[in-house]
Parts: sequence; structure tokens; C-alpha cells
Amino acid sequence: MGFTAYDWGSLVRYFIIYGIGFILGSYGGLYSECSGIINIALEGSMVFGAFSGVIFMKLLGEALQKTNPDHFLIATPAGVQLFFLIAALIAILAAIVFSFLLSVVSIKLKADQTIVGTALNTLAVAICTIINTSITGIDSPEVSLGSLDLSQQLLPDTGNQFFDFAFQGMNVAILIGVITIVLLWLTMNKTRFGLRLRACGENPAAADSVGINVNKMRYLGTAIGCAAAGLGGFVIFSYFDIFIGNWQIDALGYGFLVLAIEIFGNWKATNIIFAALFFAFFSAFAPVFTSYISSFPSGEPSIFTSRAFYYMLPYLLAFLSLIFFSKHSHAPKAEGIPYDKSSR
Amino acid sequence: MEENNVIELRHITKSFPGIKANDDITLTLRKGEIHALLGENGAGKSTLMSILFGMYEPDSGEILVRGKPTKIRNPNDATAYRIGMVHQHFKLVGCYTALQNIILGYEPATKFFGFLRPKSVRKSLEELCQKYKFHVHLDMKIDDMPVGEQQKVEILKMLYRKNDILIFDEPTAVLTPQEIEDLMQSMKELVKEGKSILFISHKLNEIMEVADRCTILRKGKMIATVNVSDTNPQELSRMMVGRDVELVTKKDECHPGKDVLTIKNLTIYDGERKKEVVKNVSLNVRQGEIVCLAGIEGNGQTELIYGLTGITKIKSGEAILHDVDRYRYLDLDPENKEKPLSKAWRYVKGNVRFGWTFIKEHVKYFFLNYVYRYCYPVLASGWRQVKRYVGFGLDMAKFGVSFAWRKTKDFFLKLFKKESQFVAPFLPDFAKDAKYQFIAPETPSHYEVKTVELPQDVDKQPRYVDVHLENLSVRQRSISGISHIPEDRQKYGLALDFTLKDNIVLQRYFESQFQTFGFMKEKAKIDYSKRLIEQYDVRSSLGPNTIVRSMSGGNQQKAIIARELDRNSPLLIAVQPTRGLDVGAIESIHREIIRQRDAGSGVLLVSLELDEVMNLSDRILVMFNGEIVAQLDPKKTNVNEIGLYMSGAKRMDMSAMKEENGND
Amino acid sequence: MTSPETTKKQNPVLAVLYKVGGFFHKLNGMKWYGSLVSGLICVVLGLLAGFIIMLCVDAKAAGQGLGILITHALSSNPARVFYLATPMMLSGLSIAFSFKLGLFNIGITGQVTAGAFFSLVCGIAGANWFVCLLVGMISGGIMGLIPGFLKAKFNVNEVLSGIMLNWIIYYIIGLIGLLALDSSFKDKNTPAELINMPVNGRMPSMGLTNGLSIGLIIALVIVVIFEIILVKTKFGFELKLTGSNKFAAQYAGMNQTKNIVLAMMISGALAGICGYMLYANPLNPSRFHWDSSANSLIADGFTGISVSLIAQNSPIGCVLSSVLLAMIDGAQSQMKNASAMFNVHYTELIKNIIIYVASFSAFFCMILRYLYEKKEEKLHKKDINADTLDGDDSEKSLPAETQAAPETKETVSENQQ
Repeated sequence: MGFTAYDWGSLVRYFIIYGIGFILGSYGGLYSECSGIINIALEGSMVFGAFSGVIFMKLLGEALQKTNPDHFLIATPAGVQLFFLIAALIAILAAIVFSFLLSVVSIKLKADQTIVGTALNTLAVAICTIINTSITGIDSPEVSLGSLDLSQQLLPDTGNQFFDFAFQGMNVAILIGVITIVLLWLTMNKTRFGLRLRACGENPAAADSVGINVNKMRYLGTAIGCAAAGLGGFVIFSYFDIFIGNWQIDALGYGFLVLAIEIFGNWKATNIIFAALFFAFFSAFAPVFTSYISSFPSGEPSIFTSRAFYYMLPYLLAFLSLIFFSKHSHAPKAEGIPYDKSSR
Repeated sequence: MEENNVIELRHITKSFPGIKANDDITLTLRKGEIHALLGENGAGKSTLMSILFGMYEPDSGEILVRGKPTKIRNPNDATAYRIGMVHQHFKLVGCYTALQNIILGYEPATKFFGFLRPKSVRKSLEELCQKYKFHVHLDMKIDDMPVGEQQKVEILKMLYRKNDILIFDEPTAVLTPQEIEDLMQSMKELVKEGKSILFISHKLNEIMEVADRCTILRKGKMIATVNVSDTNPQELSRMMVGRDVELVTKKDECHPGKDVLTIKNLTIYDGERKKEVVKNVSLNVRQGEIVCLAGIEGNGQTELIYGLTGITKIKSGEAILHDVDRYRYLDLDPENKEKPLSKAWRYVKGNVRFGWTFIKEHVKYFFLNYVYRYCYPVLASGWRQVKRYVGFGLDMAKFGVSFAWRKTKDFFLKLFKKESQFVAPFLPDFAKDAKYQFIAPETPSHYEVKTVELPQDVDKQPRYVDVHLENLSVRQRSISGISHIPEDRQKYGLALDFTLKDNIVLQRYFESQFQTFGFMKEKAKIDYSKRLIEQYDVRSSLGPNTIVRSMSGGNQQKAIIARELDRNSPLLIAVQPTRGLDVGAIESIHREIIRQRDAGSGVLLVSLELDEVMNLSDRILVMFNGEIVAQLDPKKTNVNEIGLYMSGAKRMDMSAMKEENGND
Repeated sequence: MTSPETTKKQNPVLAVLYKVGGFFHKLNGMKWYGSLVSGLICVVLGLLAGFIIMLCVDAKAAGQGLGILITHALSSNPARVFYLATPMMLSGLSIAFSFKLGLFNIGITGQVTAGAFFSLVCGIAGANWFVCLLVGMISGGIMGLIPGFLKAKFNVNEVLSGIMLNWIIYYIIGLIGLLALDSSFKDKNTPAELINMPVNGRMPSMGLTNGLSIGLIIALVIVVIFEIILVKTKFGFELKLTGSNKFAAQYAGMNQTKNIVLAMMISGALAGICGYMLYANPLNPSRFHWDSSANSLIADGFTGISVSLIAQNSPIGCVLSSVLLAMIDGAQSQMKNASAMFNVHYTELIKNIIIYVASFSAFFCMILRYLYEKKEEKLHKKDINADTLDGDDSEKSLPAETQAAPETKETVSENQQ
């Protein structure tokens, strides 16, 4: 047994999913921090976005299943993709609502943004759990799709094993993710809005003096940031966990990983893409390689055959990159400082 | 006539808690004129302009723009009325290019999605640059630009927005003479185009050069509006200051002694701005003299002081502090001089003798009483006896501990020769009441023992040492003998949320008088701060327990000055010690600094106020662009001459300067 | 000046108020009673939000649910509240200690995990309780040292490095569990789980049978030591000063590197003790597992954040807030009695809301301080008035004021009628 087409295919598949999820997540951080708000609550946004999308699909899907099992939204391939599209939009909306929990408190009440973010991360999990249990009655923090089967293929069979493993079963959320990434990149680098947003994070007094409403930009930046992270969460978890059938309400620390990616990418939209892909590779490598290893007849356990080591790799790399890149990083200068108009 | 007035401010009054910043000010700006607004610091110029630019709302009065009464609520309104302002501290985003900064807020963009179209503006901006002879690199980042170019970007920003009422808030404070000349030219050019300029300044010669009319403010009140052609600088100055004679603090002739501080070829590199902010500076400060570093803000004074006190790192060069070796704890009184061992022996002898008589007497007493009066006396005196026995034991133990401690201290100090000088003062001092003191075994490596005129009685003479400051920590420098009154008292000088007593011991809380074994002595702290509060007249509501934030600026500064002066350091560094204070506080602070000088300290004063420079200093060093360009005697020079050096227009021959110092 | 004598003559109630005010005034700037009030506000708001959510879910049972949440734990088994509170107290102290320096030790989860794992391994290998505690403390301390050192030397954001370290230590423990421990350490049925702490490794119960042990005493002693360090020592002074204004600390020549590393190490050590205590309760120690399907970290570290936030970083406040959170935790299983809709996650939610509200409790503090200062200003103004009027006619001045107030009130009420 070698590294088969199946393995290569799933590596590519994981890489794409994680890549898009991580880029979205770290763009989320980028948008909030460029506007001047430290966003530790990315993990919470991811959870909240993913949860809203998933629970929406579950509720509507089950309702449709009961009334009309052949409803096109759940029975036809195109319908399922439309279903995913709506769910992705729901995820974005929910994350925007969530973002106000962070932005209002840190702009209006001038709270410590790091602490608010940390509190929101755990709060998001708690809220989702409560909503989940009060809707479904299941007393555990997991969303289960039950009998609902949404594994409709977007692409037809090609017969090429690698291609099929890599791209089949992709849902439209990933497409939305790619489009969003392009839009976010353009907005940040090429538009009026991006120019103003970054000015708010660098020198809010200057932005204010040319008539930009700093606090409004911060609300917007945080909202867009959380929305992107929410979509990122939905992309990752709708892909992997919807097909498994249930999802533990948890972002597995990816929300923190994207923060490291942001530092790694030095708060530049283009660099972040490469940084995110780098980490995505290692995150994709872990499950694929461990399943590859587990196909061997097991001998003595060692570091290199254990699952934990490969799962640790992205975090370890992020940690090391923090050490090496923190000195050279140029965070937005006004980051984390509430803007006070009277001090201008 | 009326139509000519583009701006009319009528009876503007604005007060802040405790101060009336503007009191009934009326001002008109005519079309096509340069109108100067003259006043000292704190006269209310900036407040008035902030009102005009919509940052504050006036308490009363009205603003007419082009003849129509208007309300300007925010900078956007001001821009809508085509009023633009160049702030004293530029409002530019450092990591953006000039072009991005210029278009920020009014970007040329597509209607769909707002894509930027900078090309369309670039051409017109380049034309503007050519017209006014601005040499601005539109694609250069602001951080990489010199200050003059940054200011041009600010002006371009206003022109791009088609403003025709331009406000310049102290535009020349940060510029070099050539840049000032350029600015004046372009201001004249702009006025020719039909724009009107409000020009805030406290520099008379600039106003005389460019302004058509001038309004003078003093302490929030409007004094007069005059035609510049009808007046002269003396008259303007009198109106601005309100008195003919300037306030002069009395001080005696200075009698400089030996060098306290020598700086040789000091260079400091600023990693953030990526340039050398202090270049090859050499200077010296002598005992009993006030040396003043004059210069325009941002010419390297702040960085020099930070480098000297250890807050930032020095790239190259030497800084040497010459001082009495305070860490030798020399016993200067020969009569009390005693060998440590003999002292210890006497201590032992005394204790033994006492112990023997004690035992003898008690045995006698005990037997006599026991025999004659049975048990009664035992009961009666039992407690006292126990106490005395215990007391004896404690005495012996105390002696033993202090002896052992001294020995271990010696041992470890020998072990860590290099640090010994700094450790010694902070070790708990058990032998405090002993007449001899600890003598450090050897001179550490950064000390250079200097031979002074050979004394007849060696014991009486203090030893002088050179402390090389370059690689020492902040703490080591400060206890080597540097007192530092920092520039930004709220940032560096004080912990605002702490009590006055904590702030007063901030520089010496680690000394053995305030702590033993790491435990703070609260009472010593309170006593000490009470003494300083009384001595330096620091006023606060709760005495040592006042939270510093609640104190007035003057009293905060007084607390810092009390803290720094009471350490009696050979070198006092004072950076803008009177910034933002009222006249009474300024006077008392000046007095304290002069007193410190008379007590024999060397004082290095950094000040931006030329009055203060002329008033206090015994010698003036002028800094420009990170270098020292002149050394002047305040008695032989005047403000104008200093101004020339400060602006880099003139420059002294450095070698001549060195020779002059050598002769002293 | 309104000296106590003059006020006493006017109005005994006022005099008492002035005295109380003076007492607080002496405590300076509302430091602790402001914190107490804002801490209470956080708790009340958190409970209120929880109550509203319960109302939404099941309106009838909401009141009963809230009652159970607050009272059940203490009324049914007070001892349980205290032994639940002990590790929380320690983790809260750990966070509070780092907060004093202005650092946010979010790596506490990793420190707790490390402390718990290594002390458990020692305990299972046969060490007695004190050795286990030391091992937990040291391993937690080392885990705290790493982000502290990185912060001081490389200026790495301690929040991010802490979070990464949490995951890294989690997986490293997985590796150790897999590779280094033989089967006698592990549970036979679930190999990714350590067996219970043996009796000699558990904390001495001191003859009690209700779960209380020496742990509570240790925690309280640490509280006292913490308080002493902060108030009495040079290190505490430097710590507080660096946390309050690090530029002033730099100016005063404090050794920042040493302080940061030491504070983070102590913080980590406290977290390590917390980790030990979590798994060494004499009555029913819980199981340590490292490779569950959920990949979840030990959440108790994060509880420390809420404890410390509610307590406004005061060590004594940590005792109170940890008891409070333990009360909420203790009611977890009983929530079902109120309504079938309420499950264990409600207590989690309420705790998290409390943290969220506590994160802007500085805002409440600000408001309280503002009100306080306004009052002070008024008093001050009155003083000045009294002083200036004193010279003219001392008899009239004060009574005139006191009389004037009711009159105006009456006129207002008349106008309203």
C-alpha cells in the first residue's frame, strides 16, 4: 500500500477546505484589526456562524422532509446547493449579529477587547449549545443531522479517482468562500472603503480630521470580520461534519490559529493568503497522513506514527512562527485603543 | 467691505472647567489676506481655531462664513465651507503614500463598488505641485518623508479639496529655515490666487514677513487687531506678553566646578524612524552650572536624554558620569574610624562583661533573697529576670546574626565584584548604628578611578570615579547619580493611579530605608513623603495618600521635582520642567533648580521655551537635526541669535567649542 | 471645612454618612468598594440574562430555576460548594496575578492540564500528596514561564502564545500517554484515560468525610500570601506599578524582564496547583483523559478568567467569586427539577454571560467613580462656600443652606400641583 490516489485526493480536498476556511478566518481578523478592534472572538464567530448555518439546514431540512420528502431543496443536486447557499448566507448574517456583541462593548463601553473576545468565545459555544438543546432536546453540545442526507454531488463522476476524491461532494459554500475571498481582497486593497478602514486602524485622528466616522468604520470592520470568520467556520464544518452527520459545537482552536496566521502574514491581505495556505497544508496533512499510517499493520507506537503528533504540527508551527515573526510584525498602530473624540 | 470678509468670528467665548480659554473674541478674515493670530502658549489660539474647524462648539458668539451665520459642528462642516487646516501635529497616516493621504476621505472612485481611481487625480496634483513649486513624491510613504515634505502633503490635501480658507496652526515650529522660507513663499503664492490664510504663530519675525494683519490674544482675551505694516516687533511683543520687562528669576553668578558629565561622540539610532536621531554629540556639564539644550522640538533632545538615562539604547559613543564614589561608604570622620575587628571585639567584650556582672549580681541577689525571704522574691522578680535573660540572649543572637550577615555580604560582594557597587546600598543594613561602614573590596569594571589632587589627609578626601554609563541599566544609572525630571510627566514621571507616597519613593523604594528583605516599610515611606511634601510645598487633598491623578499639573510636577532633587544627585536632568504650568509654579520650580545648582549639582536642562533658556541657563547648547551646532553664553547672546542656530541657519565651528571647554 | 463636629450638630444621620464616606475616602479612590459593587453588578446582570433566557424557554419554571441556581448548592451540601470552589479559587488567583502586571495568562488551561497530568502520574507512581502538589506546581510554573519569557524577550503576544501552548501541551500529553506510560497507569477499558489518583496522592481530608480537605486551607493561605505580596512587598509594588504604567516602571528602572517572567511563572504555578486539586479530591476524584473524540481542553482554566474578572483581580474577591460560581456549578444537576427544558448547559451559559459582562465592568467602575467624584465635588464646593461665607456672617451661612433645600423642594411640588 502506498500513498494512493485516494490519499492524494483527500489531501487536496482537505487542503482546499482548510485553505479557504483559514483565509476567510484570518481576513476576518484582518478586517477587524485594520479598523482598530482586536478580534479574539474569531473562534466564537466561527462557531456561531457554522452553528447558525447547520441548525438552519437541520430545521428546514427536517421540516421539508416531513412535509414533502421530494422537495427540490433536499432532493435534487441543484436544490441542495441552493440550500447550502441560503445556509451560508444565514451563517454570515448570524455572525454579523454576533459581531455587535464585540463591537458595541468595545467601542461604546471601552471594554478591554482581549477579554471581551475571550469571553465571547466561550459564550458563543454556550449560546449555541443552549439553542441546540432547547430546539432539539438533545442534551449534548452536538448538532446531528439525523436522517437528513445532503451529500448531493455538485460535480459529476469523471472516473478519475484522484479528481473524484478531491472535488466531488464539494458544496457551493466553498464557491461562495472563494468569491468572498476575492471580494475581500479587492475591497481591502483597491477600494475607497479599504483605504478608509486601514486609516482608522493606523491613525484614527487623521481619519477623523478628513471626515471619516471612525466608530462607524469600526462597527463595519468588525461586522465584516466576524461575517468572514462565520462563513469560514461554515465552510469547514459544513463540509466535514455535515457528512459525518453530527458536529460537536467547537471550532477546535482554528479561530486562534487564524490569529497566528494574521501575524504570520503581517496584516497584509496578500501575505495572509500564503500564510493561510501554509497552515492549511499542515492541517490537511494531519488527518490524511494519520489515516495513511493507520493502514499499516501497527508495530511499536512511536512519535511519528501517533495521531497526536500530526495534529500538534500546525499549532507548533504557529507557535514557532509567533516567536520569529512577532518582532518584525507591524500591527495596526491604533489597534485595541478605543477612539476618543475629545483627545483629537 | 462686508463681502470681503470670508470669516467673521463674533464675540466667541469658550470655557473649559477651571479656565476661560476664549473670552469675547472677535476676528475677521478678509478675502486674499494673510491674517496672523499671535499669542503666547496657552493664550487660546488653538482653541479658537478648533472652534472654527468644528472640533469644539463655542459657549456663545457666532461664526459668519462668507457673510452667512453658520454653525460648524464637525470637520466635515468645515470642509463643506471650504475651510481647511494644517494641524500642528500633522494628521497623516504614516504607512500610506502621499497620494493616498491626500485623497483619503474624498477619494476618486468608481460608482460601482467604490474602486479607487487615483490616476485621475494624480495629474491635477502634479500640476498643483508644479504651480506652487512643491517637491512632493506622491508615491512615497509619509513615514519616509522629511517633515517639510509632510507639511506640503497637508497643504496639498487642502488644495485638493478646493479649500480657499486655509488655517495654519504653528506651521513653522517643526521646519528648517529653508523650509520656512519655502512655506512663506507658497503662502504668498496662495493668497495671490485669492485664498485667505489664517496663520497662527508666536514668532514675530515670521508675522512681520508675511502677514497683512495681526490679531493678538493674551490669556484668552483679544488685545487688538493691527495692520502689520503700521507696527513693529517691539509693539507686537509688548501686546503679546503684556509687559515690557520679562520675568527674570534671580540667581547668583555661576561658579562651575569639575565636570560631572562628559558625553563623547554619542550617536543614537531610532529603529522606528530608521535614522540617526542623535549624531556624534559631545558635551559636558560641570558642577554648579545649568547647561541648557535649546532647539526646536524633534531635533534629538528627547532622544539624547532617553539615551543618557537608559530608556533607549545608545548606538555608539561614551557617556561618563564623574562623581564622588558614593558606594564606597567612606567614613569621612577620622575620629570615628575604627577597624571593623576591633569594633566587633569591643562589642563582644562589652557583652561578655555585661553578661558576667549580670550573672554575678543575679546569683547574689537570688541567693540572698532566697535564703532570707524564701520564695517570695523569686516570684516577685521572676518575670523581670526572665525578661533580662531573654534580652541577653537576644542581644547575643542579634550580634551573631549581624556579624554573620556582614561576613556573608562581604563574601558575596567579593564574588560579584562587578555588581557590588550597586548591591551594597540595598542590602539591609544591620550595622546601621555602628560607627564604621562597609568598604567595597574593589572597583568594578565600568568605574575608572581618577586621581584627584593628592590630598594631605587621604582619609578625608572622597575618591572620584568615572562611571561609564553606556551599558548600565536605568536603575544603575539612576543610582550612579542621575536625577531625571522626564519630559512627559504623566507617561514616564508618575504612576497616576498610585498614591503620592508611592510616587515620591518611586526612585528609591528599593533602598534599605524603605524595605527589608523585600518588605516595604510603610511608615518610613509615609514619613519620608510627608517631609518632602512639606519641604517642597506639594499641595494635595489627602497628603501622602492622595491619588496622583486627582492632583493639579503643577503639584504633580512639584512632586516629581521633590523626588528627584531630594536625591541630591550630582547630575540633574530636567526636560521641559515647566511645560504647561502657570506662572507661580514655574517660578517655584525655577527656584528649586537654581538652588540645586548652587548646592553643587550639574544641571542639564532641555527646554523649548527661549525665555526659560535665557532665564535659567549658564551656558546654552543649541541642538539642530541631532547635532549640537552652537555653544553660547546667555549674557552675550540674544534670542534672535539662538533662533538662528536653532533653525540651522548658522553653525558654530565645533572644534572652537571644544577648545573653549578645554580651557575651563 | 465641613468638619465632623459641625455636621454632627446639624444632622446625626449626615454625620454618620460623612464618617462612612471618610472611611471610604481613606481607602482611596473607591478602590475596593467600587470593585465590589461592579462585581455584584456583573453577577446580577449575568443572572438576569440567564433568567430572561429561562423565561423564553419555559416561562413558568423560570423563577424556580433561578431559585435553584442560587440557593440549592449551599442549602443541600455546603461542603461540596467549597470543595468545588477550591480549584476555581486557585485558577482565579492565577489569572489575577498575571492581570496585576497587565498580562492575560490565557495559557492557564495548558498550565492546569500540565499540572494535573504530571501530578497524577506521580501520584499513581506512588508519591504522596505533597510531592504531587509540588510536581503540579512546578510543571504549571514551567508552562507559565514559556509565554512569560517569550513576552519579555521577543514581545510575543502572551494571549496567542498561550493559546497555542494550550493545544501543544494537550497533544504532548497525548504523546506521553501513548508512548511513555505503561498500562498500569491507564484505564483498562479506555486507554486514553488515567486511572484515579490513589489515596496516598489525594489531599488529606483531615478527618472530614464531606469532601473538604487541606486544599481549601492551602488555597486560603495562598490568598493571604498573595495579598501580603501585593500590599507589603517590593515585588508587589513593582508588579502593580508595571501593570498600571509600564513607562513609569521603565523610568524607575524596574527590571521588566524579571518581573514578567516571575509573575507568569507564579501564575502558572498557581494554575498547576489548581490542576492537581482538580484530580485529587479525597471524596470523588475525577478522571483525566486526553484523547477524547471532542479534542477538548480542560475548561477549568477558563473558569479562572471569570473568577478573576468578577473579583476585579482582588485575591479576596477571588474567594467570594469562586464560591459564587461554585454555587452555580453545584446547582447544575438540579436544574432539571425545575423544568425538563433546563439542562446542565444553562449554568455554563450564565457563567459565560457573567464573564462577558465582567469584561466591561471597568465601565461600571468608571460610572461609579464619576458619581463619586461628582459627590466629592459638590461637598468640596459646599466647603468652599462655607469657608468664604464664614468670614462675613458665620451664623447664617450653614443653616441657610440646609434650610434652603426643603424650601425649593416644596415650591417645586407646589408648581407641579
